[in-house]
Amino acid sequence: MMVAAMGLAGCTRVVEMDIDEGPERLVIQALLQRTDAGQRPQVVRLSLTDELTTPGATPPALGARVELDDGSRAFVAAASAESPGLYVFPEALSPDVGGVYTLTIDYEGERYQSVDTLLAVAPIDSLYFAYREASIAGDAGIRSVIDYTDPPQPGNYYLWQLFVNDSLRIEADFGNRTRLISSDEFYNGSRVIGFRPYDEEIVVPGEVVTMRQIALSRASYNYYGALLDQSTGNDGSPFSVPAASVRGNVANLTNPGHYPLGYFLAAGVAERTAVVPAP
Amino acid sequence: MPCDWRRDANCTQRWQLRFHIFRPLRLAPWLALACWGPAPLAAQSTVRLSGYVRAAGSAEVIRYAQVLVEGGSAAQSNQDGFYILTLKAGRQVIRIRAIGYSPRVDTLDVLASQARDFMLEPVAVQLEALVVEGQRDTALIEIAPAEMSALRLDRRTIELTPVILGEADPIRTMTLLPGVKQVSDNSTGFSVRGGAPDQNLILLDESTIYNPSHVFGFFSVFNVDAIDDVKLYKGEMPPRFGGRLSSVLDVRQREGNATNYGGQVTVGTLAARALVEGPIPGVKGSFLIAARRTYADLFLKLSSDPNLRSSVANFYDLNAKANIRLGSTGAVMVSGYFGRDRYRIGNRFAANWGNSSGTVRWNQGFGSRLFSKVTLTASDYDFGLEFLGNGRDFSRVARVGNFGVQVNEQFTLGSNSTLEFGGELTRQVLHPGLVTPVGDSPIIPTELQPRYGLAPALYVGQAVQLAPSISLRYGLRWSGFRLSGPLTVYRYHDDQPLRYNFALGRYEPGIVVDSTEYKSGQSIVTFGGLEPRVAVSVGLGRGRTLAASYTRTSQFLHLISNTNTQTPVDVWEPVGPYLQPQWGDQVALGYSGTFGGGGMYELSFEGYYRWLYGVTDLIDGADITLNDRLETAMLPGQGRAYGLEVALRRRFGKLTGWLSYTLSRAERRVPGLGLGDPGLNDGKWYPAPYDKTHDLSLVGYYPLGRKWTVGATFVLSTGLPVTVPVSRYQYGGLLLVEYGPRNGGRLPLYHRLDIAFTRSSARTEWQFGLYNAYNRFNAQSLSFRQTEANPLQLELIQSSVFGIVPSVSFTYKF
Repeated sequence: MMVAAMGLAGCTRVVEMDIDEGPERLVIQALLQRTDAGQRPQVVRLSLTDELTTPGATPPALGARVELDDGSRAFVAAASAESPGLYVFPEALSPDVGGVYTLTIDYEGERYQSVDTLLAVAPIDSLYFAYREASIAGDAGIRSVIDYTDPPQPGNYYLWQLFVNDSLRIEADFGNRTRLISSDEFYNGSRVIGFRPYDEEIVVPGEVVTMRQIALSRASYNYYGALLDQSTGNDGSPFSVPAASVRGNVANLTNPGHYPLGYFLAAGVAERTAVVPAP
Repeated sequence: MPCDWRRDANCTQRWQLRFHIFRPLRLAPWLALACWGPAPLAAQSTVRLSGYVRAAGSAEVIRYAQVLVEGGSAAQSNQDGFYILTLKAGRQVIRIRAIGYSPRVDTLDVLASQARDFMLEPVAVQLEALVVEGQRDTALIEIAPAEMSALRLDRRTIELTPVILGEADPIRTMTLLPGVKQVSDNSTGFSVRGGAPDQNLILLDESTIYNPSHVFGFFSVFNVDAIDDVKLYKGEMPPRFGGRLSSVLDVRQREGNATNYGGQVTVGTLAARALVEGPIPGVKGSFLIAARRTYADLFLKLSSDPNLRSSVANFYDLNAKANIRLGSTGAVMVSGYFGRDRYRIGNRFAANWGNSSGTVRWNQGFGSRLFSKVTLTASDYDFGLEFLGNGRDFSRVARVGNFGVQVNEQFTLGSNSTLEFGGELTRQVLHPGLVTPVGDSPIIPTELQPRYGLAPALYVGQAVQLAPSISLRYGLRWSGFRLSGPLTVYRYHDDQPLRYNFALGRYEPGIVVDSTEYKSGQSIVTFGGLEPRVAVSVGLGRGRTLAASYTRTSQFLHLISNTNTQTPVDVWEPVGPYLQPQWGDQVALGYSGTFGGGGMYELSFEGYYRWLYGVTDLIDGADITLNDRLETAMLPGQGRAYGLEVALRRRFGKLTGWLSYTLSRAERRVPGLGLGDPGLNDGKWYPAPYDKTHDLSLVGYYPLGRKWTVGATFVLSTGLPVTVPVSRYQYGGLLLVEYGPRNGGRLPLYHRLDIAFTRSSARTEWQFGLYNAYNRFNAQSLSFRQTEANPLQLELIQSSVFGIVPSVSFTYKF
């Protein structure tokens, strides 16, 4: 972006390469959530890695046994009939702040396991909308804005998710690393006003916008940081980080070398929903 | 198991001991060598001539000029233009030669030791480009004290060599020489013999330049108008230099014309430059002031977009130097450099950075035997970033600086032997991060702990002509570093700042269990080590020389960078309780010779092997931004580099220039903590990010008529190493990739042709340049993105930095 401003932008071109495809790996997307806007279904999505340039969604991992243990009870998720690869826990599973949860997945003869502690999150004080003029950083349009208050004790980490009409909005963007996640290290205990985590996402009047503020631990903050760094690729700009695989918090107990990807996150979630008003 | 430096008082000492023990040093032979010099000539018949070699017209000093007695001894003017020549009393014929000047022959009656300056007439627009030291001239080759692995560039070569946007650049031109590699098209960082860019000591008039980049690395900070001489030591390093592992880039500013006022103005595609120089009234001396500023941002002001109009993009440089002569053999010099880059993108983001450096030096010749220098240097580099317009606006500033004193003595023992000794003491202060709120922001002002270090060094060396055809240079340097308080040092569970999670297969920060507060000035940890250096060269007759060298170097600062190239926002971290010094050994063997009529061609080969220890690499996913405990993000490792360099130069004739080729390998290995953990890349060797197997440069200059000169360069090299994606997966709404081995793939072949046409007359000069003349797409990175048609499909993309770029510049001299 800065380089482009200097008028010295280089150019890019699409290339074909012979890729030695890596081993197929299990990818785990698991968010065990305690939401302030009422209980949400607790689900785990399992998929597989596949060939680099294949079009379409990656293949689902079918036939897995997914179990969650809250220390006193174990819950087994049922495979969703509508959405292959989605495993849905029974409604009786109601996670709590401070709970320690163990996720166990048996897939194709290998056992995967992860443990996480559910952390509380501060509420979103308000969700509103602001018009932004066109700039080098983006087109003109309405952006979603939040205010939130960081709790007095230090060591809070955040992740934000944006849903527009119930569908998740995210694009690989260079600024994600500094906006979609945050550490309170330099603003502990303060009120943050006018924050736009999704500054690149334009919303239009009439759309239903939900912003979710998710508690991270130091470890999951590092994971998301690395993930967001890598999601823009190593674009060759002076600030791009070296390419590296991002390892999550799920271990393969049967065959440690055949590590899975993804993350098991147990988290408090604060939600706000609003309809984008007419200008 | 690493020792507990806090509980175990011997721990730090043990470190030092290791630092010593692994550098076996047998002093006795070195000391014995000091006595090897030929027996002094009988005192009554020996006298000495000493003084400066200067340019006629401007009286500026001429560095590295040859001064020799016909049929007798010889000397070379040093880096400050001072020579000491021992000769027999009586009538003597003295020959003086230097690159770019007409040779001079004087017949003198030298009856007693005396001070004498020699003036040489400059040769108009002469192209004596590549100087592989020690092979300067067929006639002089036998007596020149051979210096291996050193490269020199003069200003005229730099000016005539085509570069991007016509902005003459010593660093870019240096990368056309053997063993020196550009790490990327968008970085002024360069790799010398497989070393990392932060392992190059960059000196401007003996003061450190921490980051030589303008515009995020497209251009270097050196304004060619103000520069006299650039010398790169890539192998054998004189013992007076230390502090970096791979090389010393010794840049000297011009002194200015001591007899006439003058100047020049240049208007180029990117920047305008101006220079004034002249004598200082009332004293014997000269001054020079040079300035440079871009006007890229003036074009932004013409934009119809208000955001672009409010954006800022510029840089400037200011170079100043004054020189006052003290008697016939002394001088006081004051030199300074100030530069800054400033960028602002609308009201979203701003960045600025700059170097400031200053030098005050007194040099004096005493009694025609001793040349003495006392130098005070100060240097500072800082960068600031501002993240704006998003509810949590803040700025982040980091700086690194030093203040030092150096004493350098050069003592002539006899006609064929010179002793060099001295020392330095440098105070190092590093501020890794200061966070401050901007505007109405909840950000709490916070400063990461500054680091305070003291770096002493002592050295001694001798250059001796053992026989008419054998010269020996050897020396010993002791370098130390003390990290002192105030500082809070953390202690980790099991004394592991970094631990390996075997279940998850990843490195994680260690758990802090305790901390120790050190008071201001209290010593935290000290390091020290000896660095022996030796080089020998043997003249084989008819301009052929065989040379060999061994050099040890050490480094107490690490540049912590999580980017592919050196950027302006990288932070320096000194060695400490967890971070060890870097040190390395290099051996080199070289041959050079001249052939063709009058020695028209010069051919040299040099092979080298380097071992690097204490180098570090970051763990995957390391978070180093504003991290006060960087020890939790990096692993120690080692490096090795080896290669063969070939240079062929056509020294005179209508077409001059050179061909340089390097076949080399630069690798790193990070074996891990030794606790059963795999390290990086499974503990296997992997190519360094700037490793290029083949690197060829072809540089030529050709006069077209009386006024025009065409300069062209052609570069061909192996593509940079890249880590190749091997599969894709979906997570959190994003498409991501899984990677193969670190730096396991290669970008395509790199090649480029640049041309510059220069029209010179007495007062004006036009230059028309074409960079990347045939518009080659030279990939500098490999990455991936979602396709436009299908967000659920990835495509691999390569990026290049520059296509074809024309440039024009005009210079007026007055």
